[in-house]
Amino acid sequence: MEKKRKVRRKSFAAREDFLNSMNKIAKENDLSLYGFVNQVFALTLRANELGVNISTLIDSRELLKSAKENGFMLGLERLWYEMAELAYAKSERKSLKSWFDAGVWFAKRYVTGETDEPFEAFQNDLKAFIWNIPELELNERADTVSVRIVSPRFTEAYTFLFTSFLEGALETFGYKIEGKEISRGIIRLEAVRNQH
Amino acid sequence: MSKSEGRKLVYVPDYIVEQAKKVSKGRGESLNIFISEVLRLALTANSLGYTPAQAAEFLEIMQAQRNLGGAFVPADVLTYLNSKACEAEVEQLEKKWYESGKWHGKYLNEKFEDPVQAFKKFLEATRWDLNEVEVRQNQHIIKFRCISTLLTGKATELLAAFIEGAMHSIGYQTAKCDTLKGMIVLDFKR
Repeated sequence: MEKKRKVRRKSFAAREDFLNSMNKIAKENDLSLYGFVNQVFALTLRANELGVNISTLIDSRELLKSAKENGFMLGLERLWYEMAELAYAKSERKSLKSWFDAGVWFAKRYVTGETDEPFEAFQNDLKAFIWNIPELELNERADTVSVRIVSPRFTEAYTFLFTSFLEGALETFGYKIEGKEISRGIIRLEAVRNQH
Repeated sequence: MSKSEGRKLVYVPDYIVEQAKKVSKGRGESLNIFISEVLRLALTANSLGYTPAQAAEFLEIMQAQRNLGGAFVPADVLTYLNSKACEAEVEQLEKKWYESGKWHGKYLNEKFEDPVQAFKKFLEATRWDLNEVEVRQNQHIIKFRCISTLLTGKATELLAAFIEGAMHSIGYQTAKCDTLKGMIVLDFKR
């Protein structure tokens, strides 16, 4: 009979409260603490190989949850661009309106919500959702907002459509677009608060 | 397990400790700090409903999604883009979704040991408009079933084209395709 290979073990010291909680979870999953801790380390080392850490998991999970609540869908960037190109070529006006309305809807959640700093919350979520855009600056100063986006992968149509989305959102926050510079992959917007 | 001043000793295989030492050193952290962080995050992941194995899968899928060029788009815009209202040719749209699926499948095939399961997990993690994604394998046939109460008829067809594209890249051929608003039933064979 083949002799079972003995795995050499080492010990390490860890916070008692953490280990007690882990012991409880291990029991719930019919595992020994040893088995569970092994799984945890295997996960950490795998994450490290992928160039991420477990906090990425928590961030990603939060991001997906937030995107879902904010009416966003995750898919392939290239597909979105190609579809946007097709739609824009067929009906520029309707496509722009569709993106504008989406911007209004997105911003409305913050404007009508109970957040203390709605614009800041909007800004944070927007930055999180557009992880594919390498450069995004959104600055709010007194009664003005300036936006600068640089994304070399944007197609021309997508640049215009995304601008329309931002315009919808800014108008919902009570800003009027005063300056606009758009070229493929680059968006610059200057908006001023409406004086009523 | 032995105990000393709010800390306990726990045993792990030698090779894991060695790897952990390397990783913590690479991050410029002490092993103790690294271990505490790992345990803390593992407890948080558990509170989110993930076992370590599920967490590893989710991480891998999300990382693949980023590498593939994942991007968020407003769901209403997607509905518009998928609808007749945008006036894009149906065939053209289907072709785009199919090609995108092919590209996706190719990546999964290269990256994952079981690309079909990885694809299923990708759909579950990212397509929150799907209530159910089921993949069953009977010898040489793989049965895909997606159910959604939100998808329009057109969006259902486009998603089916995407799934077909991915599965074709993974090395399967379509044996049967039934789509109905909110329901996709696809059979594939090697």
